[in-house]
Amino acid sequence: MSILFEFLSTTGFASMTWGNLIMILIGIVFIFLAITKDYEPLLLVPIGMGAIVGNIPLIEGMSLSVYQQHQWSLDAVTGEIVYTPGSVLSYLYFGVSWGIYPPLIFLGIGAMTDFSTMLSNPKLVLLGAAAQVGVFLTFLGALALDFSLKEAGAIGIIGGADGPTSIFLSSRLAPDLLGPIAIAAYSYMALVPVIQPPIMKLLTSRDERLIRMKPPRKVSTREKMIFPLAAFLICTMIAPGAIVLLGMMFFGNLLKESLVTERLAATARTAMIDIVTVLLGFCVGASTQASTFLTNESLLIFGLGALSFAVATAGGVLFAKFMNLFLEEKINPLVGAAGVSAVPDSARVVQMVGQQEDPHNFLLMHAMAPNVAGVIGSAVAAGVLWAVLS
Amino acid sequence: MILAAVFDASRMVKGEGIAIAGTGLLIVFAALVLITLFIAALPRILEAVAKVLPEVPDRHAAADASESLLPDDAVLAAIGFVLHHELQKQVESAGNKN
Repeated sequence: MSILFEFLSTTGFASMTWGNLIMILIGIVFIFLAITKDYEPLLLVPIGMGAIVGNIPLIEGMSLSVYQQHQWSLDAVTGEIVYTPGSVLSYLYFGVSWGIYPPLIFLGIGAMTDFSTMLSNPKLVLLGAAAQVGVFLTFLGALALDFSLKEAGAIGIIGGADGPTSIFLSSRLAPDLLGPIAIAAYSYMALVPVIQPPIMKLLTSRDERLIRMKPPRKVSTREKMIFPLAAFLICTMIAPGAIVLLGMMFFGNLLKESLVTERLAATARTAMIDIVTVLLGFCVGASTQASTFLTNESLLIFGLGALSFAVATAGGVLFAKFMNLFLEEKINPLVGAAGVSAVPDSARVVQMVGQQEDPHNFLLMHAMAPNVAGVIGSAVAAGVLWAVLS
Repeated sequence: MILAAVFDASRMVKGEGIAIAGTGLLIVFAALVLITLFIAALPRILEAVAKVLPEVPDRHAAADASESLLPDDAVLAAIGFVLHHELQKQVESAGNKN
């Protein structure tokens, strides 16, 4: 009988805390939203399942958590160096904590991105820069809320609306906040269709939302081949901190556009990015253990994250309106909202909001230009923050 | 209330927060403005280069172009859906008139 009681004391039911229960419920909500509302299912299903796995109470003496990493220690009695292996999940989590997965995801993103619309209308690139105001205003907001400079930098990049970039920068600047920052970034990316439309409508008039833009011109193969090399050189000469992310992204794009490495490009944009996304999402979810995740800091990070998305959206829309003061061929200011780099969700939101006013106005192609420029902009912002704050 | 108690705007100035934010935004703009200028100039550069090194259609580009003439299954499905949708609308509107 005592063995049975001893066993029962090791079950998850006996050591379950309210925190674990809340996190398991959050995981279930993520999976529910992904399945029923189709909110970023490729991310929310792995993150949700990871959150459930990471919050099953641990058994003492068993290595199960992502945080139980391998270690070398000196035995005080024998004087020998003892190796204690880490948990299986901790090895998978290395890819997150050492910033390995984000560049691999950028390789895949590069291999699937078509820069044609951006090349055909270069002025739209500036909208991708304007939306980065969200990053730097959130950085200031985090400082005002008593986060350190490094932590504020890692929190600010949530405004870039780019999950891999957020994970990369927080793993470099504030590893302790990686869980909440990653969850905030991915959650708000999934909630782009909810967060952006009210801001877009609030800042534009009906006439502005009805503006039709000229169809993009045809871009030559040579232009598409030269662009990744030139853009990489320009960005990394200015912000060398962006080498890792932008190097991989433009390398992926070169694989696609060179026309001679189609097999590699196909692997990068399909199997490889899928594998890394599964590992990244699951590990980030599993890192949200209640004891480390349910803190006041996490709540502040979530608040700042929501604010940063709103500011970034407003920044893009307002800058488009500002550009219209000088342009003969007006830009539909809704397109500015796609400057946040949630690809392609924010471009889809632009299309959706535009078509609510005029069902025959197709803004998707135009919105893809600031959208991919936003990816470049947020990677440059991450590079700058990393260089200045590390 | 808690947020108001924690929030202190003077901390933004300490540790050169505002300077970092301003410089960071400036650098991002500089990078993307240079990319914009480069993209805007690229067709003219290529035009000039083409006089010296004319673009010859290579086999990869040719293969790519011939492939692009044939719509894939997804495109055919999309065209089919739109045709069906438009036809249904016309049938419905004709029904309403009757």
